[in-house]
Amino acid sequence: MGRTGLLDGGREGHLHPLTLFALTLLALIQAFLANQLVYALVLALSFLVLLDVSPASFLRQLALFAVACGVVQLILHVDIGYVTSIFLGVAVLVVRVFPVVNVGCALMMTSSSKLLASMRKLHVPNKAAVGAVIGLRFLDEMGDRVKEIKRGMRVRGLRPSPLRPVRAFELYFVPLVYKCLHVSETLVSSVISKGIEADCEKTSYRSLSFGLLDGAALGAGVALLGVAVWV
Amino acid sequence: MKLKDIATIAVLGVIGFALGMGVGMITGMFGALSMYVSAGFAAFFVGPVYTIMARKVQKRGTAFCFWLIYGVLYAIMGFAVATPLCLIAGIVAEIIAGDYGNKKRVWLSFSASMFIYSMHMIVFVLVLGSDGLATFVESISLEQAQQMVSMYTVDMMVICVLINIVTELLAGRFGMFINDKFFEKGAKESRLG
Repeated sequence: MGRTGLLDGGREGHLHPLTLFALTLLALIQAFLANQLVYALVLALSFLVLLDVSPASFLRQLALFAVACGVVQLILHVDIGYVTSIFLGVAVLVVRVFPVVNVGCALMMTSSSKLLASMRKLHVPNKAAVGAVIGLRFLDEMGDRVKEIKRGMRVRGLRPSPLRPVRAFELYFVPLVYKCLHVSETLVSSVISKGIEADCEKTSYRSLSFGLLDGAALGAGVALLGVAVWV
Repeated sequence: MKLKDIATIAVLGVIGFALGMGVGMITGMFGALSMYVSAGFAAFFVGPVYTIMARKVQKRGTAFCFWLIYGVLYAIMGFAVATPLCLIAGIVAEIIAGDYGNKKRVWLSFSASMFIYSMHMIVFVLVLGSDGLATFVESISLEQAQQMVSMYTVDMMVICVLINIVTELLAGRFGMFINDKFFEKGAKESRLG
């Protein structure tokens, strides 16, 4: 299911998963505290992190950010009554949490085995680590499964109608849950057959050492948090 | 709890969160009406997910893990202020659900926990006030927060509570209906046992 299996050659960034996790937390705290300048710097840092992992995702997120900013500007110039402030609030929120989403995307693109190995280093219980990795990976998977369901419905000539909401819900929801349960069972079968439940010490094919880039990214993140708190 | 159960909870927790968040954002755009029905309407989408998960796993801690995932994902999305409420909802759901063998208790555990969660805006308004809301909830400006606090009168809160009680109970029943129709009777045996 994942794009980045245990031994695949998929592109990965240079940052350690724990660095990405720490940066996600820092970006989250800064979303509450940062002023415009610090926000812009955190945003730039998050885009750099994403560029390191996947240039295609970097371009996609950049385009989405431009669209979100455009929507904010548009709403600022259009007054549609009470709902204006609600739309504006949602649009501003989307723009504001962009750094968190960018780093989160980078984290989601990190291979599951690398994530598992780094959680093991932190002594996270095995079951909790597997649950977290599957949940994280699945956020990325859901869109693909919904597209599959839409394709299947088109082939079978099924059309959900807003006049029959329960049937429409069943058409989308039931196959989605079945697909998801199938995926989770396949994944668990796979990791159990690879010996995840064995009590012996686990090793990893992936290099999990902290590098200079990790130090630089974390240093920049902590420094920006310091500035945000200080200002 | 087996690894298979953890995976099921993780996957269904993510689906429940995505559906709840998506529907909540759409209904949030319906202006003043959203203050009454936003969380209640989203419950019709989360209810089936919760019920299927609870009936499939049937282990102690399932409901708490579900709400823990909700809380963690909310924190990642920048709404960390909602996380404690999700944890309280998880504890209440866990107490009511018992050993998950009784369908009515599962239904009620969802309705009760979702009701606690759906009260988040009222709790925020009462506990945080306009200044706190503007500080901790990123999507709300001070002006909006003041407007919101002034709108949440006692009458409105009572109406919200009543509407949410009814919608959460109906959503729990709807979840049970979907579970019984598609996942309970013809459910296949898992390959993992």
